[in-house]
Amino acid sequence: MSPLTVGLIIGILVQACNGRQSVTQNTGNAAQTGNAATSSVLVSFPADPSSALQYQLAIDPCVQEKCPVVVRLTNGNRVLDSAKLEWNSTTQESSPEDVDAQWGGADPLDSSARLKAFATGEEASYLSMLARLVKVTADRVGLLVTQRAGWDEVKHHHDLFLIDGEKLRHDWSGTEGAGPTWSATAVVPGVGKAEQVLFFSGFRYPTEDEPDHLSVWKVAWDPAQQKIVESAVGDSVSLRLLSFGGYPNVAKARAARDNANSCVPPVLWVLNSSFYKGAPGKVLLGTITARPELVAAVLAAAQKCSPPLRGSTLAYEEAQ
Amino acid sequence: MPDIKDSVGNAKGQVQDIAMVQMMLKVIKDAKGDPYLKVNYSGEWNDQTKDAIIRFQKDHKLLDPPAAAAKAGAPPPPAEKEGIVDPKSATFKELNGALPVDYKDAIILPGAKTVYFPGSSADAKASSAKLKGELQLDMKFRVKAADFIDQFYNQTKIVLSTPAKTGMRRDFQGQMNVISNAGPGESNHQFGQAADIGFGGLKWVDGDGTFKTDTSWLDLGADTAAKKAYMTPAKAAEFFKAHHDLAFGAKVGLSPTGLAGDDTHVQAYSDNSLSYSKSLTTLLNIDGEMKWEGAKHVKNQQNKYKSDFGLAGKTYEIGTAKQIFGGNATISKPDLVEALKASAKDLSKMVAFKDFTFVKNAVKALKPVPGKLPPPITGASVAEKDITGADLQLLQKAAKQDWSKADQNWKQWVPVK
Repeated sequence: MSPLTVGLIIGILVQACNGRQSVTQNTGNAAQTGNAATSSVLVSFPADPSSALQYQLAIDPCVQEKCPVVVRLTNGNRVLDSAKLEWNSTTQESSPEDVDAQWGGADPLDSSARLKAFATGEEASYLSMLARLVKVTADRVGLLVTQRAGWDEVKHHHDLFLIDGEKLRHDWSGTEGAGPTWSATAVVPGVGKAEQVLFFSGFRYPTEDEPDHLSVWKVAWDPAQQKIVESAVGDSVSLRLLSFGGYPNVAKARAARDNANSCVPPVLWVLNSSFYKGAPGKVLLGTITARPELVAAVLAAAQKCSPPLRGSTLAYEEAQ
Repeated sequence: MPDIKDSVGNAKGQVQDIAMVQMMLKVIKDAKGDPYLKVNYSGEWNDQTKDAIIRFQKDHKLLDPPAAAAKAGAPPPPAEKEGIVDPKSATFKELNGALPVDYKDAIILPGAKTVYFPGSSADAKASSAKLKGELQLDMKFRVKAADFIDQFYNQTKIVLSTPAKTGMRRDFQGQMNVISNAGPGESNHQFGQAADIGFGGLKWVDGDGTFKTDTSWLDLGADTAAKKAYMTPAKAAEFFKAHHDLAFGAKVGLSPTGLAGDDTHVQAYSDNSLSYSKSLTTLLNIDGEMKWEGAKHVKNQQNKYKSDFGLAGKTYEIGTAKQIFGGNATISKPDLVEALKASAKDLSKMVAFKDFTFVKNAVKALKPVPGKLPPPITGASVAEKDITGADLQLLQKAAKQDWSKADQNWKQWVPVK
């Protein structure tokens, strides 16, 4: 088990055993004091293997039901820097939430719920946060935070922070636009001992004849630019296309998806087969994964659908 | 014909005016067939824009001394300022004259950086009429939403529309098939109180001068082949700002959903004014065979629901909306046995229980006494072993039946806090 994994587990266990920690917050600058409002710390992680710096995910005090969610860089009790995340919570109260295959915080096939998010609010005020470490280089650790919010439509916002001295550096964010979108970030092995983030971004077209789209991007440290860069996945990750068959048109694929929704864990997509080498039919029903070892469990679940759904995988390769 | 409100040049000008002048310089070609503006139009002043204006002015002899022009026999035009385009200047008039015919109708929103083309008033009227005639939407809501389409067209010349049937009323089954925390009966789309009204068909000019005809969500090009949307989120936000300002302002009075990003969605009331689970259980209890209550659930914050199984006693948690409507209510045998033992109801007369194995056996075992009604079949002495898997399926079916009735009774739904 890597030190990072240990850190992650410790972070989760600390939160789970002790509940939220309360700290006195010095906003923005360590030299400032005086803001004695109580912040609710959800989880802390080691930010630098060679120092006592810590990343913290916290919910600041509420003003008119707006409670800023922040990432902070701390050293002991001192807050060195902080960054406000995209969406506010409506409360400082949170409860643990399973991160399943549809949550958007792991590989699209990962329904293990080994990660726990911090959920706040209910119905339209629901907001959940997931933080995990990413070892972007051998000696540099980033904090990846995903916010998931919404009721009728669920949206995600992803941010990746690094440290620069005693400052936070916001290096990347993944956003969703309007409409029936879905996205996820998954931490996967990168070059050497480093890790990288895969950003899955999709859109489920509600129109009658338009297939969905699902794209995957690599979010990784670029040594030349000395920063995190989003780019095509290329050969750096072995992706698989999980297909539950080819269909002659979008309507038939959608009908198959409607049948599978309650029995297959991941979000399924009706994709244009011509985009992928070797894909069956005009459109296919399936998804993309970087975790081939999880395919068997999903195929087994699909066999229990009524009628059973048969699936297979092929190497993910975009057609030219 | 394109218009600008203020002078553009010397690093000054309103954003929309800069964008419009840049767009014109991008699509007007010089003698060699090259665009005057060498970079994409952006709405932001830059040296390339200044160079393009001056080159255009020189090519069109707009900077020549007035006297020289007068000698040629024409009345002396007003002197043009180098690198500057005034709304009433000869330069702007010349730009309009040189503009390719396909761009003659280009317009832009105040404060925006993206030039677009007006839709037709006939399309706007048709879109508005379609919404107004949509009987699957609540009457007051659809009138207001149609008025929004009319007013937005009058204000911007953009035709708004609903993207697809999922953007209108979605029945309970339709809600099962969307990625949502809201299960069947938990979305205001089920009750005709919400619609997705977007920009489908909007024709706009990309930075390089090419036309794009966009989707409802302004995400054209958002696919693996095209690599992200053609319109950036920042540009899309300009259009959605105009949409939201009018829809949620005093003139129209629709409400947004609580979540930023669900930009096409408009609804009849504020999310803060109701509880979706309480509103749903109120509807379920109008005509249901069972009594329903809401219960909190933490997994992905989906609500859970409690039912008394129609036995008029305590209620028990039996799953999320998706589980219950999907026919997979999580009914536990101990809960059911407890409920049956506590009830004096005659199970043989209840649709949900009359086909339970132990009930049918009890009915068979009855020995009729002439002149006397048979005694009620109750669950007073039932045990867990008496409940079969098939019995639980019957109850799951009965629970779903209540939800199907609620789906049919959607017009009776009211927001409950």
